Amino acid sequence: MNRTLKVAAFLALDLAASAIAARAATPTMPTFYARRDYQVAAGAPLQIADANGDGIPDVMADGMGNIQVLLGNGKGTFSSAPNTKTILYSSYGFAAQDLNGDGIADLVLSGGEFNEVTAGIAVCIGKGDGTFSSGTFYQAGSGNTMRGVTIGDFNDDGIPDVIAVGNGGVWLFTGQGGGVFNPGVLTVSLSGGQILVASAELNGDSNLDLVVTLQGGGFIVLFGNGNGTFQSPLTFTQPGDASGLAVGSLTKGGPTGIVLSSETELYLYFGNGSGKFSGPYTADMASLVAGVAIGDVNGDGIPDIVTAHVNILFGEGGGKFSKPFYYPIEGELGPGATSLVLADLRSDGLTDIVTDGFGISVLLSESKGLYEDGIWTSVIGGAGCGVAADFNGVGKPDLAVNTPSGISILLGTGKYLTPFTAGTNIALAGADCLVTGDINGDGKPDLLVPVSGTVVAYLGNGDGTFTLTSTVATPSGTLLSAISITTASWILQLRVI
Amino acid sequence: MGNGDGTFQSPTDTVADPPEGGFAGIAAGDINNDGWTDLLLTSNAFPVDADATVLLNNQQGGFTQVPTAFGALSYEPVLADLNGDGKLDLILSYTGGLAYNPVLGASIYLGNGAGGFTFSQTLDQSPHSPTFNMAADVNGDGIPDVGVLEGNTLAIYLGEGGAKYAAPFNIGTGPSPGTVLVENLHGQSATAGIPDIVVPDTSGGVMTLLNLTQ
Repeated sequence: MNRTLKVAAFLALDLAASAIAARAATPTMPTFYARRDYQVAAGAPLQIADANGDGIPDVMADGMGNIQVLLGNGKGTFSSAPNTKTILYSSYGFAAQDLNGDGIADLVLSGGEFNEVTAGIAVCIGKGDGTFSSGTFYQAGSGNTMRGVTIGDFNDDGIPDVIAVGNGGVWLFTGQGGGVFNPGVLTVSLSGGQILVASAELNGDSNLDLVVTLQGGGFIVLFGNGNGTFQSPLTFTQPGDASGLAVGSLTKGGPTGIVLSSETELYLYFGNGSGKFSGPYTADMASLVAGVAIGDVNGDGIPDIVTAHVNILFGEGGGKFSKPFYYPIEGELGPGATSLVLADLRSDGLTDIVTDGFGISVLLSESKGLYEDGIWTSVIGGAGCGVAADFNGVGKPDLAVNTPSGISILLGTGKYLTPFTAGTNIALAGADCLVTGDINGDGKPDLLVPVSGTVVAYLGNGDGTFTLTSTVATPSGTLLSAISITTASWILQLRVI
Repeated sequence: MGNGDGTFQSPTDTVADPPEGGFAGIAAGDINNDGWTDLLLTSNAFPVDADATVLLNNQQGGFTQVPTAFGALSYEPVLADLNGDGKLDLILSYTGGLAYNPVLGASIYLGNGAGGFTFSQTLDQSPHSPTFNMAADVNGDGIPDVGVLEGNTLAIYLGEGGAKYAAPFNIGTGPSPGTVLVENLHGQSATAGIPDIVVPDTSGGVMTLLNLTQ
């Protein structure tokens, strides 16, 4: 892959767009090769559908019954629509689909109408401006907690129905058409709790089937009879409590499989198309997985698996997958990404990723599995703070960063997608944020590093390496919080009594 | 004080009456336009009357402290000419909790060129505490823009001139950002062209947010 060429093409495109925009009263919007974040209630289940009927995908988030919508502009960025407060007191399941045929997405939420005393689903009809009706409530028994929800035609009458799962089993709300549903019927009675549900055709009889995860671990497959009833469950004991569920083909054009996540593991079950499954095949993702999705994110026609954090397992054909590739999303302040959706947000044939890490994060695809999420240069131990200067004198800015074991130099390359290569490392335990400047007037940037009770000076050799030159003791009982250096060679020491 | 050869003289106390909790942040720049570098420091913690400290360079190796009445419980000072009047202005992050301080967020103070700063506005009022600020012209229109880091999101406020700002947009950093560096990585000098944003990340790397604006 010629990465440089591709970026150059991208730049040319951007140049044309900005030339058309010219200078306006509002500032020119800069273009960053970076993830775009939008503030919404964190941890909210996501859906992508057209909320305002303009043919462009919009993003919807369900924050416990409060719907927040980001309206797409077709270029991969979004603006907020007014929130919709639904009648649900709490909400767990969330699905979006045009239920009344007006070309505008409608919503189905599952949860409790008031403090979960009355459980069921709420159907919220899209108004066309990115807002929704507060919802019509359809009850499902009493005292039950409704969890997962899925939309599909389960009685083969051509009208969308809703399946919701909760404490009592599988509830079916048959559609009357026009976004109106019948009261819930417990079509499969199950003991224990059910959490997530997905629908797909799994056994080749053309009737929609269900996958339901169970509280306490395991999941069941329910083959549909095409009349709203289901056959006896096919039970699988792994994984433990699932936090993510996706169904879809795991091989090129192959039968539908099932992917589940639990803790840090993915569990893959391959279907044979006639109702049998092999697995689980597991993949360790090193960090919590939560939400999971199946889709071809690198455009090779082979399904890939994406987690909400974002780790991608690229499908290699024949049911083989690559090791996880990490696209850093999740912040330590974030509650954990729980939901993600894959969609073509720019109508360019590429699969973009939307996840709900710290608010909603949008990763736009540049094809071939490359996402505009910044360029990550690994530094062992991590980097807390840093400074930039041309340490090796080749005219490209380098970095000096604090690491847990000292200072690491990253040499600038001037190349877009590989901006830095590893340089020298200086071992220095307990170093605080460093500064740079030319402290000896030789034209080569030097480093000053505060370490408890001292400031250490490293003179730059002009080739990216440094020579320890002096250490200035600071009075006992003091803490060097920060230092600053200018051409006049000042150091400031900050005293804490 | 540096000796000019990489060694330094013994440190001397500069602020006669430093805040009890010490200082939290420092920024250097020519605040009074006399050609000499001045300093601005923010206090670290209680007592609550510990305002920011402005130190004007006395051109004799020392500093003269200017009385201030702002900046308690603030950190991450950034000095930049935000309104284009040729005088350095100030961005502070407040940790919140003081009734007479601006609300939690990145607060802008306009400098008078003599060491005085007047509160103008608070840019970021999201529920998350901003941890780092930056000022740079990221869209190349000659007007400084302001970036406010909170969590793993960098909110960018595009300058409209006169220290007025458009509604922010957010770009993502790595998972655990430390500081934010503004640096032109296109092989030009650091002051040329439109800057990129480089964010060291404690989770194990450095995130580079390339600026593709033309």
